Amino acid sequence: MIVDLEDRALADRLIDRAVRRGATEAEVFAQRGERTHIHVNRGRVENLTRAGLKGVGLRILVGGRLAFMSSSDFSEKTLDDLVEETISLAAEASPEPYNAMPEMAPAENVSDLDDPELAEIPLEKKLELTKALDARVFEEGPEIQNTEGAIYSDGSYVNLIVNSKGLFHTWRESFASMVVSPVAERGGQKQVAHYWTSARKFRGLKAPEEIAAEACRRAKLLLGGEAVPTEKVPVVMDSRAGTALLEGLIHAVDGENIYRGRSFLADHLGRKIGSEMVNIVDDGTIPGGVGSSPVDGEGVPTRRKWVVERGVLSSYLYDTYTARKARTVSTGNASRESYAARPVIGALNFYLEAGERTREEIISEVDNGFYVLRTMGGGPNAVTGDFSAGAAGVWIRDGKLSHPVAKVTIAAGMLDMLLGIDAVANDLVLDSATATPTYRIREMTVSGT
Amino acid sequence: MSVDLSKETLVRLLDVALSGDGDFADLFVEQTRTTGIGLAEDKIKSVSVSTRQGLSVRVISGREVRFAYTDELDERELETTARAVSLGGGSAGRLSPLVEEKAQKRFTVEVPLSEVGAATKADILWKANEGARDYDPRVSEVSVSYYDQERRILVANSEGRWVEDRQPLNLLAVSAVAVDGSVRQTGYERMSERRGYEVFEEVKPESVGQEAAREAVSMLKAEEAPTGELTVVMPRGWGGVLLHEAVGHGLEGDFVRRGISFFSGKLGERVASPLVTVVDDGTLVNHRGSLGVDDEGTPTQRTVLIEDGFCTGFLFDLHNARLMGVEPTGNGRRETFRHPPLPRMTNTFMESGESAPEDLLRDVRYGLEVRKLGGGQVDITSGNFVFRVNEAYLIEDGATTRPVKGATLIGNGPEIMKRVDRVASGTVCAAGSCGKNGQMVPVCVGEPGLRISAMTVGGTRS
Repeated sequence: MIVDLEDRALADRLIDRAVRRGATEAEVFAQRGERTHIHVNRGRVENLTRAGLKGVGLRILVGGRLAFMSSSDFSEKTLDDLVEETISLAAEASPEPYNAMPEMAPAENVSDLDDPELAEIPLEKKLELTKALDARVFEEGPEIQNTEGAIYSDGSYVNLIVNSKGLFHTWRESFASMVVSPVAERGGQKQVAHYWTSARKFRGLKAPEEIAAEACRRAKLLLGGEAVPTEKVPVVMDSRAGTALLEGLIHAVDGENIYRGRSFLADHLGRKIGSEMVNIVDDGTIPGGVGSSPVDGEGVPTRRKWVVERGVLSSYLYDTYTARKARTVSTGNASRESYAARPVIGALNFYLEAGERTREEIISEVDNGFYVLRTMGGGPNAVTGDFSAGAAGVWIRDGKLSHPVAKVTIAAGMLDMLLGIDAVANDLVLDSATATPTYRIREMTVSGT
Repeated sequence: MSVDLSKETLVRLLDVALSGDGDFADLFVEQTRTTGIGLAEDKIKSVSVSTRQGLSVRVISGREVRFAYTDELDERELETTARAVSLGGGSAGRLSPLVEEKAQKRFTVEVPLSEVGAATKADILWKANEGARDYDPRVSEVSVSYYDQERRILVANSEGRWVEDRQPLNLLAVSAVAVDGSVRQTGYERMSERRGYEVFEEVKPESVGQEAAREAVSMLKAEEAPTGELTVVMPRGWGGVLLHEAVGHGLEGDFVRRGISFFSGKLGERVASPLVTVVDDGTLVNHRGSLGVDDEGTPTQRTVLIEDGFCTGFLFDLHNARLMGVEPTGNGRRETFRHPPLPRMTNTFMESGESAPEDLLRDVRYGLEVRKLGGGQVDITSGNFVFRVNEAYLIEDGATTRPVKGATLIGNGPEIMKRVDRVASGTVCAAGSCGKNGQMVPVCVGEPGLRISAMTVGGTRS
């Protein structure tokens, strides 16, 4: 169903039309894909979605003035009208000399981003897998009385980017993921936990037994959690909860936020912002990486770079526009949510490098502290550098997990958190674009009763 | 255009969809056109236009739902899509004749934004920018975003429903940064209604900018927020996001039916203080959360969820209502044709109480007065929720004193609702967006101002 050549012709025609109508530069991003989504709850298929999707985004510059259009309708008339309208809209944009599209640069192939087998796997097999995951949670102990069910999703896409300066890239990608959400119950109290697996290829998904067991372990650990008295204590961040800090950091190192003064890390390049153990990488070239891509949303080849190396802030994230403004080069971090969105700065695979300790060792060294399994609401504020979020987890007493905790918040300055990281575990798994191993922060305020 | 599929086509597609084991089928056709403008650093950074159109087909067979969509609207592709969901055999469903209905008009558009030129729209952003920058020299950066949208939908189902609607929507949002020495603070304000250009003559864009700037500047002097259990006074309007998270999501029919909501099985039971009456009303004129019909073609309505503290109703789409043997409430919504409908809130608010606004602060020895809340999140199973506080002040001996920053509110929805001990008069609604299962829909939240006797405030000062 996917004909690359047809889309290349469509892209060329749109660019040609835009240029003839007055665009000084023009770029087309086109996408086609197929998706499957299955939700099973207690053995029944609550939702089964299969769909194809397509769309095109056109970005134009008219002497530095930027306009953008997108459409899921590929008919000639609709697209031609939209090109006209986009050209006339550009007149309202302010001229911005730094606006420019990138030149063609060859991109290295990043392997294993596409699963050619995905389309061949029969729907029945995916249904069976989802049903197996849904059912499996009831084998994990008497506390598991209910479930929100199991969800399976996959998708395959062909992306194409072409611009009027001769840039052209096309690449395929796919993803598959599963999540299960068992509910543990005891004495009228209920607790849900979610646990998931995600990969570029179907074969990369973890087994249902493993996902179900971990989800149920978490639901049972959290069940009956209550607030604890307010105090400042060491906090151990579980790998799935630990990403909240990194998500704040992505906004804080976003080149656009930097020059607009919307980041607490403006003017911090080359300065120490974390402990020696903090090594943060952004890398679009990891084979099979969930956040990998040979080129970014503007067609600039991606690469691996240190964002924080041994605690020192070593790079911001730039697209072509912000890089020109900062008199540097793009780091390949223009990111597109879909064909319908203009590229904005985003991370690729953004992760805290693993340390050498085990999670158990890191917990066992804490006399009185909080092991955070999930955060909710709030989170980091990249402008002010404050971090505050709701949290649930388990209290640590004398190096051992003691009792469940909920309805508390954890708060600290993000710089204090990064500088206070005093242990990093060896359990990093790159199964999401933003990832961390388990790590410990010397002190955060836990607010409860 | 796309939504104008002929009756014959609709009937044929429903027939195909029901040719398997389905006992219900529906079609949803959408065409949405959006114009967007962004301003930052005293520049219009970009202008955009987008269009999206497509059709989705759903078949329900007992508890099972199958869903497919396409953005190709030629006859062959439409039929392939309908066939993709008609699995099995022995259909129990029959097709009732389609009867065209008119959606109730909930919007009073005088000057459609689709007929207003880009230069006039850009001027709205320039004025908002000016309002914020002129407010105070410490305002260092302002960004303004704007969009207007027209969403046309058509719903047809096997029970004979056939209805179209046009849903206008606009939004103006301003984010301001104020800087004083090394202190940086942000302020945010948004205005959104389902109206035409006339709304910007009524609500001046400058005032939206000023409000964002006011918040950023007032927080420059803020001290670190206290922590622990405090009496908390919530503001009129956007304070209603507390209800939205603390009780609203838990009252949605899918969670209730699956028995995973805190409110499952609680109909008729006391779930809040007697001062609390909570309503979801999709019929309010021009509100961001309002609709003539929902995305399943059911007329919207006013549903009392909690009355004088007792749980009196839930929010239903067609599917969950059928399974629970109740009537749908006009709350089946979807972000786009690419999303299946879910029970969602529309405009959800607390009814006016009887206290004068100043009575909320009276006799509070030490507490927190929240002026602006940020986003929140809830775990509907346990009822635990969290909110970020954007602007707040200490209450000392019955009076508002100093601004505080970095506070987060946390609690358990039903517990907190029982601790509401004052409700002011005069409910106001505010515009927001609500996310669920990866789908965002426009909503309003609202309340008249209220006091919670004790609630955990998380800050950094112990």
